Amino acid sequence: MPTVGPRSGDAIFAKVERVNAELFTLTYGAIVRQLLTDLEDVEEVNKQLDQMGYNIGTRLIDEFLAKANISRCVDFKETAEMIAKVGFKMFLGVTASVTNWDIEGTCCNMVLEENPLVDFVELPDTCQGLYYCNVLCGVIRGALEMVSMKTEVTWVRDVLRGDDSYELQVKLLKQVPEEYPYKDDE
Amino acid sequence: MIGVGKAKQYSNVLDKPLSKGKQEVSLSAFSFLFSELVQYNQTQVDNIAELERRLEDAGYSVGARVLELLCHREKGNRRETRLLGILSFVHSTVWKVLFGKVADSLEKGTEHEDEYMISEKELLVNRFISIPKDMGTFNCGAFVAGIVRGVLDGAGFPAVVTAHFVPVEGQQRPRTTILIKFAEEERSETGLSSLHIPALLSSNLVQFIWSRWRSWLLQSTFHLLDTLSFPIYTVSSLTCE
Repeated sequence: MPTVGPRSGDAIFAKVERVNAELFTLTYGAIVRQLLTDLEDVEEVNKQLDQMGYNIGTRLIDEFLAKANISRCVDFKETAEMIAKVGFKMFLGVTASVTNWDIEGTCCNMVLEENPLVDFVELPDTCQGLYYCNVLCGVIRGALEMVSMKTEVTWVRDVLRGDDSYELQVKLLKQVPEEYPYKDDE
Repeated sequence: MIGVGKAKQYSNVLDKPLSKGKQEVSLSAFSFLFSELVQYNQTQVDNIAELERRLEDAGYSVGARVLELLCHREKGNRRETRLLGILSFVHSTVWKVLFGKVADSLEKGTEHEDEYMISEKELLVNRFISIPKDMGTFNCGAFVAGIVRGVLDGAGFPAVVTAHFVPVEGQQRPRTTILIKFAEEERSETGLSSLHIPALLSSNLVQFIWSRWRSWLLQSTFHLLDTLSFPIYTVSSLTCE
Protein backbone atom coordinates (compact mmCIF):
# COMPACT_ATOMS: atom_id res chain seq x y z
CA MET A 1 0.00 0.00 0.00
CA PRO A 2 1.46 3.32 -0.95
CA THR A 3 2.06 5.70 1.85
CA VAL A 4 0.35 9.02 1.55
CA GLY A 5 2.77 11.06 3.57
CA PRO A 6 4.07 11.50 7.03
CA ARG A 7 2.38 9.57 9.78
CA SER A 8 3.32 12.11 12.34
CA GLY A 9 3.79 15.83 12.26
CA ASP A 10 6.84 15.81 14.52
CA ALA A 11 9.31 16.64 11.79
CA ILE A 12 7.16 19.44 10.44
CA PHE A 13 6.56 20.89 13.89
CA ALA A 14 10.28 20.86 14.51
CA LYS A 15 10.83 22.85 11.34
CA VAL A 16 8.19 25.56 11.63
CA GLU A 17 8.66 28.72 13.64
CA ARG A 18 7.19 28.41 17.09
CA VAL A 19 6.09 30.62 19.94
CA ASN A 20 5.61 30.04 23.62
CA ALA A 21 2.34 28.23 24.22
CA GLU A 22 1.55 30.50 27.16
CA LEU A 23 1.33 33.56 24.92
CA PHE A 24 -1.10 31.58 22.78
CA THR A 25 -3.09 30.32 25.76
CA LEU A 26 -3.38 33.72 27.41
CA THR A 27 -4.27 35.43 24.15
CA TYR A 28 -7.00 32.90 23.56
CA GLY A 29 -8.22 33.49 27.09
CA ALA A 30 -8.33 37.22 26.40
CA ILE A 31 -10.45 36.58 23.31
CA VAL A 32 -12.91 34.40 25.18
CA ARG A 33 -13.19 36.95 27.99
CA GLN A 34 -13.79 39.72 25.50
CA LEU A 35 -16.52 37.71 23.80
CA LEU A 36 -18.18 36.93 27.11
CA THR A 37 -18.22 40.62 28.00
CA ASP A 38 -19.47 41.73 24.59
CA LEU A 39 -22.03 39.08 23.84
CA GLU A 40 -23.19 38.35 27.38
CA ASP A 41 -24.63 35.05 26.30
CA VAL A 42 -22.74 31.78 26.49
CA GLU A 43 -24.50 30.32 23.45
CA GLU A 44 -23.57 33.34 21.38
CA VAL A 45 -19.98 33.02 22.52
CA ASN A 46 -19.91 29.37 21.48
CA LYS A 47 -21.17 30.40 18.07
CA GLN A 48 -18.67 33.22 17.69
CA LEU A 49 -15.76 30.99 18.74
CA ASP A 50 -16.85 28.44 16.17
CA GLN A 51 -17.05 31.16 13.53
CA MET A 52 -13.58 32.41 14.38
CA GLY A 53 -12.29 28.87 14.13
CA TYR A 54 -13.99 28.48 10.77
CA ASN A 55 -12.27 31.61 9.47
CA ILE A 56 -8.95 30.26 10.69
CA GLY A 57 -9.60 26.82 9.21
CA THR A 58 -10.32 28.13 5.74
CA ARG A 59 -6.91 29.80 5.68
CA LEU A 60 -4.96 27.30 7.70
CA ILE A 61 -5.66 24.49 5.24
CA ASP A 62 -3.43 26.19 2.66
CA GLU A 63 -0.49 26.16 4.99
CA PHE A 64 -1.25 22.61 5.99
CA LEU A 65 -1.28 21.37 2.40
CA ALA A 66 1.80 23.36 1.54
CA LYS A 67 3.92 22.13 4.42
CA ALA A 68 2.56 18.71 5.30
CA ASN A 69 3.74 17.18 2.04
CA ILE A 70 0.86 14.74 1.72
CA SER A 71 -1.02 13.44 -1.23
CA ARG A 72 -4.75 12.96 -1.47
CA CYS A 73 -6.33 10.92 1.31
CA VAL A 74 -8.24 7.94 -0.03
CA ASP A 75 -11.09 8.09 2.43
CA PHE A 76 -12.44 9.97 5.40
CA LYS A 77 -10.70 7.59 7.79
CA GLU A 78 -7.37 8.60 6.44
CA THR A 79 -8.36 12.26 6.52
CA ALA A 80 -9.24 12.00 10.17
CA GLU A 81 -5.95 10.28 10.99
CA MET A 82 -4.09 12.97 9.11
CA ILE A 83 -5.78 15.73 11.10
CA ALA A 84 -5.15 13.98 14.38
CA LYS A 85 -1.54 13.02 13.79
CA VAL A 86 -0.22 15.70 11.47
CA GLY A 87 -2.61 18.64 11.69
CA PHE A 88 -2.81 19.00 15.44
CA LYS A 89 0.92 18.40 15.76
CA MET A 90 1.89 20.88 13.11
CA PHE A 91 -0.03 23.77 14.61
CA LEU A 92 -0.49 23.06 18.30
CA GLY A 93 2.34 20.64 18.96
CA VAL A 94 -0.02 18.01 20.33
CA THR A 95 -1.53 14.86 18.89
CA ALA A 96 -4.96 13.34 19.05
CA SER A 97 -6.14 9.78 18.69
CA VAL A 98 -9.05 8.79 16.50
CA THR A 99 -11.59 6.43 18.02
CA ASN A 100 -15.18 5.29 17.87
CA TRP A 101 -15.67 4.92 14.14
CA ASP A 102 -19.22 4.22 13.06
CA ILE A 103 -19.87 1.41 10.58
CA GLU A 104 -20.04 3.66 7.52
CA GLY A 105 -16.74 5.28 8.39
CA THR A 106 -18.19 8.78 8.32
CA CYS A 107 -18.19 9.66 11.98
CA CYS A 108 -15.43 9.41 14.53
CA ASN A 109 -14.19 10.92 17.75
CA MET A 110 -10.86 12.62 18.28
CA VAL A 111 -9.38 12.51 21.74
CA LEU A 112 -6.86 15.20 22.47
CA GLU A 113 -3.96 14.05 24.59
CA GLU A 114 -3.05 17.56 25.59
CA ASN A 115 -4.83 20.80 25.03
CA PRO A 116 -2.75 23.97 25.03
CA LEU A 117 -5.86 26.16 25.04
CA VAL A 118 -6.92 25.35 28.55
CA ASP A 119 -3.89 25.98 30.74
CA PHE A 120 -4.87 28.13 33.73
CA VAL A 121 -8.55 27.82 32.85
CA GLU A 122 -11.45 27.06 35.12
CA LEU A 123 -15.04 27.78 34.15
CA PRO A 124 -16.96 29.86 36.66
CA ASP A 125 -20.53 28.90 37.50
CA THR A 126 -21.90 31.53 35.17
CA CYS A 127 -20.21 29.97 32.15
CA GLN A 128 -21.15 26.35 32.55
CA GLY A 129 -22.65 26.11 29.08
CA LEU A 130 -19.49 27.42 27.46
CA TYR A 131 -17.54 25.23 25.07
CA TYR A 132 -14.29 26.94 25.87
CA CYS A 133 -12.35 25.30 23.07
CA ASN A 134 -15.05 25.64 20.45
CA VAL A 135 -12.59 27.39 18.17
CA LEU A 136 -11.05 23.99 17.40
CA CYS A 137 -14.37 22.68 16.06
CA GLY A 138 -14.55 25.62 13.73
CA VAL A 139 -10.99 25.14 12.55
CA ILE A 140 -11.58 21.52 11.56
CA ARG A 141 -14.91 22.32 9.94
CA GLY A 142 -13.46 25.26 8.00
CA ALA A 143 -10.37 23.39 6.87
CA LEU A 144 -12.32 20.35 5.68
CA GLU A 145 -14.82 22.48 3.85
CA MET A 146 -11.99 23.86 1.78
CA VAL A 147 -11.14 20.35 0.66
CA SER A 148 -14.73 19.58 -0.32
CA MET A 149 -15.95 17.94 2.85
CA LYS A 150 -18.93 19.28 4.71
CA THR A 151 -18.63 18.23 8.31
CA GLU A 152 -20.19 18.79 11.66
CA VAL A 153 -17.78 19.04 14.56
CA THR A 154 -18.93 19.07 18.17
CA TRP A 155 -17.47 18.55 21.60
CA VAL A 156 -18.53 15.35 23.30
CA ARG A 157 -16.26 15.53 26.31
CA ASP A 158 -14.55 18.46 27.92
CA VAL A 159 -12.43 18.34 31.04
CA LEU A 160 -13.48 21.89 31.89
CA ARG A 161 -17.03 20.62 32.11
CA GLY A 162 -16.14 17.73 34.36
CA ASP A 163 -15.38 14.97 31.85
CA ASP A 164 -12.16 13.03 31.88
CA SER A 165 -10.84 13.97 28.46
CA TYR A 166 -11.12 16.38 25.57
CA GLU A 167 -13.04 14.64 22.84
CA LEU A 168 -14.39 15.98 19.58
CA GLN A 169 -16.87 14.30 17.29
CA VAL A 170 -16.28 14.80 13.60
CA LYS A 171 -19.13 13.77 11.35
CA LEU A 172 -18.90 13.81 7.58
CA LEU A 173 -22.16 15.18 6.21
CA LYS A 174 -21.37 15.09 2.53
CA GLN A 175 -18.55 15.16 0.13
CA VAL A 176 -19.01 18.06 -2.23
CA PRO A 177 -17.94 17.22 -5.76
CA GLU A 178 -15.17 19.49 -6.89
CA GLU A 179 -16.31 22.41 -8.94
CA TYR A 180 -14.01 24.54 -10.90
CA PRO A 181 -14.70 28.17 -10.32
CA TYR A 182 -13.52 29.27 -13.72
CA LYS A 183 -15.49 28.92 -16.91
CA ASP A 184 -14.33 27.12 -20.01
CA ASP A 185 -15.44 29.74 -22.47
CA GLU A 186 -12.98 32.37 -21.36
CA MET B 1 -8.47 2.85 24.34
CA ILE B 2 -8.21 3.08 28.07
CA GLY B 3 -5.73 5.59 29.27
CA VAL B 4 -5.49 7.43 26.00
CA GLY B 5 -6.00 11.12 26.36
CA LYS B 6 -6.84 10.86 30.02
CA ALA B 7 -6.14 14.25 31.41
CA LYS B 8 -5.56 14.10 35.12
CA GLN B 9 -8.41 15.55 37.07
CA TYR B 10 -7.88 18.29 39.56
CA SER B 11 -10.66 19.64 41.67
CA ASN B 12 -9.27 23.12 41.35
CA VAL B 13 -7.12 24.76 38.73
CA LEU B 14 -4.76 25.91 41.48
CA ASP B 15 -4.02 22.33 42.50
CA LYS B 16 -2.62 21.67 39.11
CA PRO B 17 1.15 21.92 38.98
CA LEU B 18 2.32 25.02 37.19
CA SER B 19 3.75 24.29 33.77
CA LYS B 20 7.40 25.06 33.17
CA GLY B 21 6.46 27.25 30.25
CA LYS B 22 8.52 25.26 27.77
CA GLN B 23 5.62 24.16 25.62
CA GLU B 24 5.29 25.69 22.22
CA VAL B 25 2.76 26.06 19.46
CA SER B 26 3.45 27.04 15.89
CA LEU B 27 3.83 30.72 15.13
CA SER B 28 1.11 30.41 12.51
CA ALA B 29 -1.36 29.09 15.07
CA PHE B 30 -0.74 32.19 17.15
CA SER B 31 -0.86 34.49 14.15
CA PHE B 32 -4.15 33.04 12.94
CA LEU B 33 -5.61 33.51 16.38
CA PHE B 34 -4.28 37.02 16.72
CA SER B 35 -5.66 37.98 13.34
CA GLU B 36 -9.08 36.74 14.47
CA LEU B 37 -8.76 38.87 17.59
CA VAL B 38 -8.08 41.94 15.44
CA GLN B 39 -10.79 41.14 12.92
CA TYR B 40 -13.39 40.49 15.56
CA ASN B 41 -12.60 43.74 17.32
CA GLN B 42 -12.79 45.56 14.01
CA THR B 43 -16.44 44.58 13.82
CA GLN B 44 -17.06 46.11 17.23
CA VAL B 45 -15.73 49.60 16.65
CA ASP B 46 -16.08 52.49 14.28
CA ASN B 47 -12.73 54.19 14.61
CA ILE B 48 -9.06 53.35 14.92
CA ALA B 49 -8.61 54.75 18.42
CA GLU B 50 -11.40 52.55 19.69
CA LEU B 51 -9.91 49.51 17.97
CA GLU B 52 -6.53 50.16 19.55
CA ARG B 53 -8.18 50.60 22.92
CA ARG B 54 -9.93 47.26 22.63
CA LEU B 55 -6.75 45.48 21.59
CA GLU B 56 -4.99 47.13 24.49
CA ASP B 57 -7.68 45.90 26.87
CA ALA B 58 -7.21 42.37 25.59
CA GLY B 59 -3.47 42.73 26.09
CA TYR B 60 -3.93 44.18 29.55
CA SER B 61 -5.63 41.03 30.77
CA VAL B 62 -2.74 39.00 29.37
CA GLY B 63 -0.19 41.26 31.07
CA ALA B 64 -1.85 41.03 34.46
CA ARG B 65 -1.65 37.24 34.29
CA VAL B 66 1.87 37.18 32.92
CA LEU B 67 3.05 39.26 35.86
CA GLU B 68 1.66 36.86 38.42
CA LEU B 69 2.84 33.82 36.52
CA LEU B 70 6.39 35.03 36.00
CA CYS B 71 6.87 36.47 39.47
CA HIS B 72 5.86 33.12 40.81
CA ARG B 73 7.82 30.95 38.43
CA GLU B 74 10.89 32.96 37.49
CA LYS B 75 11.35 35.22 40.47
CA GLY B 76 10.60 32.96 43.42
CA ASN B 77 7.45 34.84 44.36
CA ARG B 78 9.18 38.18 44.36
CA ARG B 79 8.11 41.17 42.46
CA GLU B 80 10.14 44.14 41.38
CA THR B 81 9.34 47.16 43.46
CA ARG B 82 11.60 49.65 41.74
CA LEU B 83 10.64 51.46 38.60
CA LEU B 84 13.79 50.55 36.70
CA GLY B 85 13.61 47.04 38.06
CA ILE B 86 10.15 46.47 36.71
CA LEU B 87 11.10 48.04 33.37
CA SER B 88 14.01 45.71 33.03
CA PHE B 89 11.73 42.85 34.04
CA VAL B 90 9.38 43.74 31.18
CA HIS B 91 12.20 44.29 28.71
CA SER B 92 13.98 41.05 29.49
CA THR B 93 11.99 38.46 31.46
CA VAL B 94 8.54 39.13 30.06
CA TRP B 95 9.78 39.60 26.51
CA LYS B 96 11.90 36.48 26.67
CA VAL B 97 9.04 34.31 27.83
CA LEU B 98 6.39 35.72 25.52
CA PHE B 99 8.38 36.46 22.40
CA GLY B 100 11.40 34.20 22.78
CA LYS B 101 13.91 37.04 22.91
CA VAL B 102 14.86 40.07 24.93
CA ALA B 103 13.45 43.29 23.47
CA ASP B 104 15.80 45.11 21.12
CA SER B 105 16.15 48.16 23.30
CA LEU B 106 14.93 49.98 26.35
CA GLU B 107 15.45 53.70 26.29
CA LYS B 108 14.65 56.67 28.43
CA GLY B 109 13.13 59.74 26.90
CA THR B 110 15.07 62.94 27.44
CA GLU B 111 12.31 65.46 27.00
CA HIS B 112 10.16 63.93 29.66
CA GLU B 113 11.62 62.33 32.75
CA ASP B 114 8.79 59.87 33.06
CA GLU B 115 8.90 58.37 29.58
CA TYR B 116 10.53 55.14 28.54
CA MET B 117 10.52 53.27 25.29
CA ILE B 118 10.85 49.64 24.41
CA SER B 119 11.64 49.14 20.75
CA GLU B 120 11.49 46.08 18.61
CA LYS B 121 12.60 45.82 15.02
CA GLU B 122 9.91 43.35 14.16
CA LEU B 123 7.32 42.90 16.84
CA LEU B 124 5.94 39.37 16.81
CA VAL B 125 2.34 40.46 16.45
CA ASN B 126 3.21 42.75 13.52
CA ARG B 127 5.11 40.08 11.60
CA PHE B 128 2.30 39.19 9.26
CA ILE B 129 0.31 42.37 9.45
CA SER B 130 0.25 45.09 6.89
CA ILE B 131 -1.87 48.10 7.59
CA PRO B 132 -4.18 49.29 4.84
CA LYS B 133 -3.59 52.92 3.86
CA ASP B 134 -6.98 54.05 5.07
CA MET B 135 -6.23 52.86 8.60
CA GLY B 136 -3.54 55.47 9.07
CA THR B 137 -1.43 55.05 12.16
CA PHE B 138 -3.15 51.96 13.47
CA ASN B 139 -0.69 49.59 15.10
CA CYS B 140 -1.54 46.07 16.24
CA GLY B 141 1.26 46.54 18.74
CA ALA B 142 -1.51 48.07 20.87
CA PHE B 143 -2.02 44.52 22.07
CA VAL B 144 1.58 44.35 23.28
CA ALA B 145 1.27 47.85 24.75
CA GLY B 146 -1.68 46.47 26.70
CA ILE B 147 0.43 43.57 27.96
CA VAL B 148 3.09 46.02 29.15
CA ARG B 149 0.47 48.19 30.83
CA GLY B 150 -1.03 45.11 32.50
CA VAL B 151 2.33 44.08 33.92
CA LEU B 152 3.21 47.58 35.11
CA ASP B 153 -0.18 48.27 36.58
CA GLY B 154 -0.25 44.96 38.42
CA ALA B 155 3.16 45.74 39.89
CA GLY B 156 1.96 49.10 41.16
CA PHE B 157 3.35 51.34 38.44
CA PRO B 158 0.38 52.63 36.51
CA ALA B 159 1.34 54.03 33.14
CA VAL B 160 -0.09 55.03 29.81
CA VAL B 161 1.37 52.71 27.21
CA THR B 162 1.04 53.15 23.46
CA ALA B 163 2.50 51.51 20.37
CA HIS B 164 3.91 53.44 17.43
CA PHE B 165 5.59 52.73 14.15
CA VAL B 166 8.91 54.48 13.79
CA PRO B 167 10.56 54.50 10.36
CA VAL B 168 14.10 53.20 10.32
CA GLU B 169 16.58 54.51 7.79
CA GLY B 170 17.47 51.99 5.15
CA GLN B 171 14.76 49.58 6.26
CA GLN B 172 11.58 48.95 4.44
CA ARG B 173 9.54 48.15 7.49
CA PRO B 174 9.32 50.50 10.43
CA ARG B 175 10.18 49.33 13.89
CA THR B 176 7.61 49.36 16.64
CA THR B 177 8.19 51.44 19.71
CA ILE B 178 6.21 50.89 22.86
CA LEU B 179 6.04 54.22 24.63
CA ILE B 180 5.57 54.08 28.38
CA LYS B 181 4.54 57.22 30.19
CA PHE B 182 4.31 56.77 33.92
CA ALA B 183 1.67 58.40 35.99
CA GLU B 184 2.89 61.47 37.84
CA GLU B 185 3.63 59.91 41.22
CA GLU B 186 5.72 57.08 39.77
CA ARG B 187 8.34 59.38 38.40
CA SER B 188 11.10 58.66 40.81
CA GLU B 189 12.41 55.57 42.42
CA THR B 190 10.70 54.48 45.56
CA GLY B 191 13.69 53.20 47.44
CA LEU B 192 11.73 50.14 48.40
CA SER B 193 14.35 47.80 47.02
CA SER B 194 14.89 45.89 50.22
CA LEU B 195 11.21 45.20 50.62
CA HIS B 196 9.57 42.57 48.53
CA ILE B 197 5.90 41.90 48.45
CA PRO B 198 4.87 38.43 47.35
CA ALA B 199 3.33 38.66 43.92
CA LEU B 200 0.45 36.45 44.81
CA LEU B 201 -0.72 38.82 47.50
CA SER B 202 -1.68 41.40 44.97
CA SER B 203 -5.18 41.81 46.16
CA ASN B 204 -6.71 45.24 45.97
CA LEU B 205 -6.22 45.80 49.64
CA VAL B 206 -2.52 45.09 49.56
CA GLN B 207 -2.22 47.26 46.48
CA PHE B 208 -3.99 50.05 48.26
CA ILE B 209 -1.92 49.92 51.41
CA TRP B 210 1.20 49.56 49.39
CA SER B 211 0.55 52.54 47.18
CA ARG B 212 -0.23 54.70 50.23
CA TRP B 213 2.97 53.58 51.80
CA ARG B 214 4.95 54.15 48.69
CA SER B 215 3.75 57.67 48.21
CA TRP B 216 4.84 58.34 51.77
CA LEU B 217 8.23 56.87 51.07
CA LEU B 218 8.50 58.90 47.92
CA GLN B 219 9.68 61.78 50.00
CA SER B 220 13.02 60.11 50.31
CA THR B 221 13.75 59.58 46.68
CA PHE B 222 17.07 59.09 45.08
CA HIS B 223 18.51 58.27 41.73
CA LEU B 224 19.35 54.72 40.91
CA LEU B 225 20.43 55.17 37.35
CA ASP B 226 23.99 54.10 38.04
CA THR B 227 22.98 50.83 39.65
CA LEU B 228 21.34 49.57 36.52
CA SER B 229 22.16 46.15 35.28
CA PHE B 230 21.08 46.95 31.74
CA PRO B 231 22.06 49.78 29.47
CA ILE B 232 19.76 52.73 29.24
CA TYR B 233 20.37 54.86 26.21
CA THR B 234 19.36 58.39 26.17
CA VAL B 235 17.94 59.61 22.92
CA SER B 236 17.89 63.15 21.80
CA SER B 237 14.21 63.40 21.12
CA LEU B 238 11.11 61.35 20.90
CA THR B 239 10.38 60.58 17.31
CA CYS B 240 7.28 58.64 17.86
CA GLU B 241 4.56 60.94 18.93
